[in-house]
Amino acid sequence: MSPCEREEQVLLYHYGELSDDGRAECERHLKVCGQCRLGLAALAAVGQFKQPRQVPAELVAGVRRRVLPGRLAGWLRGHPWFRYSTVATGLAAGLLAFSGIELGNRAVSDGRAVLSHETVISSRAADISASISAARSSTALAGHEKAYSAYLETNDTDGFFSSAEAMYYAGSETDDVNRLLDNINAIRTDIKNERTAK
Amino acid sequence: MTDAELVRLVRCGDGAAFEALMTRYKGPVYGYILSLVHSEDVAGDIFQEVFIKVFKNIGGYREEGKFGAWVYRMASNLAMDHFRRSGRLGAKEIALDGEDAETELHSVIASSEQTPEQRLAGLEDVVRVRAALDRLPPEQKEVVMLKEFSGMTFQEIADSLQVPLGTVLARGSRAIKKLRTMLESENEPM
Repeated sequence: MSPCEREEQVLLYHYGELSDDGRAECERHLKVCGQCRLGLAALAAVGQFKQPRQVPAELVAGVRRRVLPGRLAGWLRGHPWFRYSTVATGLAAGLLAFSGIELGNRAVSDGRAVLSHETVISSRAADISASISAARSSTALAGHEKAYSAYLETNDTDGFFSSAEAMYYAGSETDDVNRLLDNINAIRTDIKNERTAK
Repeated sequence: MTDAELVRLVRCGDGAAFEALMTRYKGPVYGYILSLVHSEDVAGDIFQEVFIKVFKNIGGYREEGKFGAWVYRMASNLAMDHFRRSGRLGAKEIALDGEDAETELHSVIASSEQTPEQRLAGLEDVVRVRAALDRLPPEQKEVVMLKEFSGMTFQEIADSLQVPLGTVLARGSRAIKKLRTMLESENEPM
């Protein structure tokens, strides 16, 4: 089968940059072209990796440290209102403290409801962080192999999923990923055989 | 307040305006850099360098272009410099922390309503696409990830990278072709 050459159209279609006519034409083509459907699916999967990222606070602080001592700090020191900023800061702190009493009272009642939920979330996050940290320290593959062995003995697919995911996020090398895929296929075969036997 | 208005304030030495610009762009720019270099340490260094350069060079920024495109160009240039210095074109996986990890894991882990086979298939597909993406040449991956993170049009990406639109579309098209080919060759019958 000769390769389809409509990647550019698929690219523009996926990102919504085709005209109405172009979109309709692309949709007709996608119905009959498996190669382009695969390309479109690959682009959609790429979007999965675009999770919102929390920028580590120290990075932003680092930029401030290297930027503010220069021009801005000099400008601030020379600015007329800078002389009054100490007084202003005191006043602002007083206002914040006052409003904080009211906010604090409200937070106590809201907080009770939130607390139990947050406890659950943080305990889950801790579990995940721990497993990821463990996986990162180059024990990912060892952990995965252990989980795979455990699966062979006990059919514990949940344990295998956890270790596979940890390894997946741990920066695994291609060979490790290939081994992971082999194990996934082996388990899939086991499951199929088990179902056939039933 | 628009980017252009904030830029004018930063030029007058307004620190709060610089903070506002950084707040507006720090998340997607960091995500974009991380998606290219796949190392939190390297991404952190590049991220800081980008915003320090933004601050230092803001006097030279010409307002007829989009401010975001200018910032992403710096990020792209610094990431490509990193690849040139390190002499490696590939990259490793992203390590995740805390809630982000939970969010992404949840998007990858299939729901408990799925059968073990479906869960395995989902995990396998994501692993394959990630591995295929990491094997793309940086210039091709750059276009795809820039599109994902910046929300710019392809024309804006072309302006940002200072290459013709046709070059950007050709890189994106080659990226799709390679992803497709890699997935086809690895797609064994179940």
